[in-house]
Amino acid sequence: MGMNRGIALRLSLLILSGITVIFSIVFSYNYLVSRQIIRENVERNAESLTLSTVNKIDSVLRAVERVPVTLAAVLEGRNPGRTEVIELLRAVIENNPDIYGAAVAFEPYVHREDVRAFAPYFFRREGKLEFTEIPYEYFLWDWYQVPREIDAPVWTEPYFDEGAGGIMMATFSVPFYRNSGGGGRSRAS
Amino acid sequence: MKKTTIFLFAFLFLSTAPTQGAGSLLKRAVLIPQWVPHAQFAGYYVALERGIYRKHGLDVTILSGGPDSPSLDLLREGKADFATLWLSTGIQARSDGVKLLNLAQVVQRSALMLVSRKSSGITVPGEIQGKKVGLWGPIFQVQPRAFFKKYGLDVRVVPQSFSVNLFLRGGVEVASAMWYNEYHTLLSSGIDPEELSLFFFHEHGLNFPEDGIYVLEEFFREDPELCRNFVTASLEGWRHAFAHPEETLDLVMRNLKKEYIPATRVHQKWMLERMKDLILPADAGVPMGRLLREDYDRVAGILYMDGLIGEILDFKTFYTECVGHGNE
Repeated sequence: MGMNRGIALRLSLLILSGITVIFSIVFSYNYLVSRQIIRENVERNAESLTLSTVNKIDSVLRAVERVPVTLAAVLEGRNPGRTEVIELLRAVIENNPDIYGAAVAFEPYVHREDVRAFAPYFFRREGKLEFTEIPYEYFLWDWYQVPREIDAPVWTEPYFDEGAGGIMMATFSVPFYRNSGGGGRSRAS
Repeated sequence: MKKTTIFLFAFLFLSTAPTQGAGSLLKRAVLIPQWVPHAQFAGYYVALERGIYRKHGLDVTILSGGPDSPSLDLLREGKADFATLWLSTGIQARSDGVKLLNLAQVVQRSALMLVSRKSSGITVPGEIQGKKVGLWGPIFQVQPRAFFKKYGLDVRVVPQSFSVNLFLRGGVEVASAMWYNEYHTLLSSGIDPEELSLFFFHEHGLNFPEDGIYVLEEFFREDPELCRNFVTASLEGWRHAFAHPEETLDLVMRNLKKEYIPATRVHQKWMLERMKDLILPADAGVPMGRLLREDYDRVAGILYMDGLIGEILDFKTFYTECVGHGNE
């Protein structure tokens, strides 16, 4: 009797242990496979979301880039005076709601022989259009110096524009030349 | 009328009396560092925050430096009692007639360097020949120009701003950088150290020790004890900063936030570690903060040869030993 109970107990323990091991393997496998599937889905979703965000930003930026490129071409072709430059800038901002502000910035003493820095600038503040001449020497700012030195359009890193607009912004700048050999430079954002 | 007179005298007395604090009389002093409260100046802010200046009998105010508040101008105009300046700036100012004294040469080694990408074909000084080189304003140009002269280099100098973007975008092949600042910004932008060629001026016989503590001669004459205490407390602040980097970085980040200056803790940590390398003298026998005669002679000699100063002033006229004073 005692021997039978011992065999039953051992058999039960053996079966129970076997079942526990099998279940543990099945559950572990299930957990690992599920985790892998979820991780892959999350990665795919993140990639799609990133791509779609990049495309959205790109579509805005590409549209914005066309404006200063066109403006630079107009400035090179027409050699406009002060009033015409200002009116061109006003039109650019009035007709492009995605653009916060735009400026045309000249090399030292190029716009007028007695004026070192000349950069008329239109920007938005609380829904209204405002005008100023950039009140600081801009020649070493990235938005001016980088496209000037590499002679190509450039997006700047985001920066805080303390002197003029007083906001965080990124600028797309396009160099332009008055006459052959260079002289004027354009910037529009 | 009598009442008014009494009131007026009382007011004058109160406005000139030293501050009462911790049971002792504190003497007021104002410090202007050359730049914003980066870890480059952590020792002074730690001395203020930890009460080290007060312990040495000083009620110190630290003004924020930067391009809008040049420390030499504020010292000259009497708006600050102490200023930090580069050694070369101090020597030039003295030569230009500003009667100032160097009380301590806190930064012993030059952190100024030129950097270039190895991919632009520059690995030795001779290969900088004919390249576009970004240089900062006049005080940062003395060493590079002496370097160009030493290696017979003819380069195209492009004025450099305080961003490294011109270099990153390929606008210049060689850029100026401070080891504790712009060099780390370049690494943080994704460039590996192995991709860069570094030209430290101190490795090319052009070691110009940088930040030192300056005071006007007249101010020193009026209260030498105050000046010595200021130097002692400042150096103690630096020692505390190096011994407690996390606490120091908390303070640096708080100060930068207060002034709306964008900064990362990782960058400030790098800066603090490099300041430790630059401030602690290489020779264990030299006390921290001492201006060595050979350093003065080298810097003054190059400035003289370049025509930037009219004469080389006697070392003892320029430097007043304050290191080793008090509890040091």
